[in-house]
Amino acid sequence: MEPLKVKLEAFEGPLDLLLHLIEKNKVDIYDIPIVEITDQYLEYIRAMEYEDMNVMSEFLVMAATLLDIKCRMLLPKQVDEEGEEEDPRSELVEQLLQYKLYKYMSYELKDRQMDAGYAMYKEATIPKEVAEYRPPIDYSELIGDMTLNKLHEVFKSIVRRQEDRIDPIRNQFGKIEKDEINLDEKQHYIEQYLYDHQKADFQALLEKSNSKMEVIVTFLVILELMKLGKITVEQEENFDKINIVWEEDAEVSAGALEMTAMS
Amino acid sequence: MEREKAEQVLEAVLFTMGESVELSKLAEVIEEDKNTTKEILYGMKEKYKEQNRGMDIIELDGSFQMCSRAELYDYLIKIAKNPRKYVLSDTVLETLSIIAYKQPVTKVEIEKIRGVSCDFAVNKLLEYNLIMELGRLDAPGRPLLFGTTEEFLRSFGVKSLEDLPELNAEQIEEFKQEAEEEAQLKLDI
Repeated sequence: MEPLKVKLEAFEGPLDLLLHLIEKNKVDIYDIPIVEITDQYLEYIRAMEYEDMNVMSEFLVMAATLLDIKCRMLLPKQVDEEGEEEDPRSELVEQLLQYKLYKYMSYELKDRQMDAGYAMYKEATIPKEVAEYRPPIDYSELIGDMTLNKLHEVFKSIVRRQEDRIDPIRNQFGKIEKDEINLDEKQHYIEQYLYDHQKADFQALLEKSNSKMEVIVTFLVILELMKLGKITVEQEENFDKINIVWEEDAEVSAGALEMTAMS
Repeated sequence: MEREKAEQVLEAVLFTMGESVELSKLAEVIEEDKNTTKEILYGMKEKYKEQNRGMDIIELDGSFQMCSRAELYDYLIKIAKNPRKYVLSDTVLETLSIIAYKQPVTKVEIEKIRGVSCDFAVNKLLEYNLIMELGRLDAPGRPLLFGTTEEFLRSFGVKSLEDLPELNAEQIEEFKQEAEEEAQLKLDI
């Protein structure tokens, strides 16, 4: 018989869950029994229905932190500059207290929101001409004591700033562009070519290429077609011409036929 | 301007504008200085209350707005349809309270307190116009800084940021003492 699945309270985050456990166990937040709390925490997250990876990962980070603290509690306590013992739980306690504080304040705010909700407001009903009215511009005030010379100075300083921004070294770098050759398209093209000509010279086929990338792709296509058994490759003597022969009953794959219809 | 005339003018302005109006603009209209204007407005608010008038004047961080008296809400909804109020989830509320008290604050700082990512909550709050971007922090990555808006003050009945309910450190002391008194488990490794 399947065990009854108890629906667990949804916790908003690991701190929320931790606070709940601490309150449930009625322990002193300043003296958390790390073993107990960690065990219960792990039990909870195991039972949690699997959610969003992001949410789960936050819980797991906290689980790891708890285990880390548990380990550190086993070791002799570090002594800080003032000669006081450092409690490995203290950072966590700080965090929990601060979270608790804001959680509490959020309830206060919620109450306030309820009360403030009873007042209603009116929208503005000003005629358009009034809303769009702008006082006439006083040009002498606007320009003030700006002269043409001053304006020129401002312009020069902007241009100087612009020049300073150009990195003299990096500016000289050239551009490297990526050659985009589609393997599939090339394969279909070559298949169709070989089907039409039945026989082809390997070298000639490669010579048609425009770039190193194209040569490589063409070569790969030939290998692929060999693997598929659609062609055979012959060479009469060492270093002689390499001939590519289309197999009699080999079929051109559907894609290639479409391609020729388009061209 | 004569007091009575000033009150009349202010009343008309606040009614027509509907939205909040800055104190400086109101002062200009009645040709008085800001302090006097403020005093007159507070006087009007008192008067409205004493005379049980249907409207009220609220203050929002140095601006003033006219609104209906809260106690009359039940009558108003019979005629004026209340725009649907958004309900803020606990997560969003917590994030909002952190921003309200710690502004200006970055997402990272918020997440440190809550222990979880706050992207969703921050986006929702931006959508409701309860928070806004206040600029960027001068630190690596130049992260965005967030703070509350006038709409936040209005929706939560807060006059200004100084008026927020105080972060009650005493309350926390109480919590701690309660926990200590009821402590049963005190396992030390």
